[in-house]
Amino acid sequence: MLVFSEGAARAARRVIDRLPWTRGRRAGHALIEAMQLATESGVCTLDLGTVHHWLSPEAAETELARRGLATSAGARALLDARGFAWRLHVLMGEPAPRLVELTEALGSRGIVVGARGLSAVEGLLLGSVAQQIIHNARGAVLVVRAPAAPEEKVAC
Amino acid sequence: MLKVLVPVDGSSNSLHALRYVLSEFRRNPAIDIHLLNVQPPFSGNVRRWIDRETINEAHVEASEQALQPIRQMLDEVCVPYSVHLAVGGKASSIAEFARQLRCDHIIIGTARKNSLMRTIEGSVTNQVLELTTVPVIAVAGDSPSTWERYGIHLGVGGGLAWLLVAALE
Repeated sequence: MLVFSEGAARAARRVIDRLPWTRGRRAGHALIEAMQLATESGVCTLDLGTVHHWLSPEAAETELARRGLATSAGARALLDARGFAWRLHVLMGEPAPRLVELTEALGSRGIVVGARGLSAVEGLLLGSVAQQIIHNARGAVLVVRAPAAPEEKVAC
Repeated sequence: MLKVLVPVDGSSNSLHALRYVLSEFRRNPAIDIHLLNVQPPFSGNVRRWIDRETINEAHVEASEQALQPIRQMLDEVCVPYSVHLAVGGKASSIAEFARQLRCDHIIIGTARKNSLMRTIEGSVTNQVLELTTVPVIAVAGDSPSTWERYGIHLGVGGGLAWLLVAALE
């Protein structure tokens, strides 16, 4: 899950990563699109975020940051390699509402999100975070679907 | 140059999408804007009795009418654009044009609906996402009215309650 936004300075696009990078091919494509947009806009700072299930306060204190760093490791490595500065936001709760809240709090211009391309019924039954974000966000949402190609071909 | 396809039907949601495109254009004028208006095809009976030329004229006329406020908005700020007309299913036409034109993004205005409303009413945005791998920028449109927000839930809940009562009796 990736989100881009633009902060108060109206300069920085931010990227939020929810999916574990090892399984996050969709997130990878979304991040690439976000970086492309950032480059075209002359922006060099992106924010990464990750949403996790609720943890107890004690567990959250130790585990949350660790999980956030682990799930965003690939995204951060890619941003480092491309010379983008980044900020990481680690959240707990339901992904879609938390991400929408976060982008509103950040004053985001929009959200970049990976998607599986589910139908409306599949989205309702299986739960599509992208669809929930599209229909609840107040700004623009860029939805990126990974092409049906072998994973090796889409490596950055 | 970023090539974007903007499906427009003259609705307030498509105007939201266009405003987003214009704001992006102000930041980065290197955007190639392609407007697409999709008209629903006439039924088989109509096509059987009316000649093709008349049908095409009707489609063009309906399309021009839908595009008129959009063209006005773009012309006022002197933004260059191309216009395309398609006849067929909305989502499939949008996906096909995006592929043919090799667009970088599809920018589409979308109503803010919950999952139940989307399932019942359908969402062109969701259908486009099913059909294309071209990145789609969904621009939030108008919020649903109170009736839309609660009416469908009340209707579905009432129907289920009525069925339950009928089954118990």
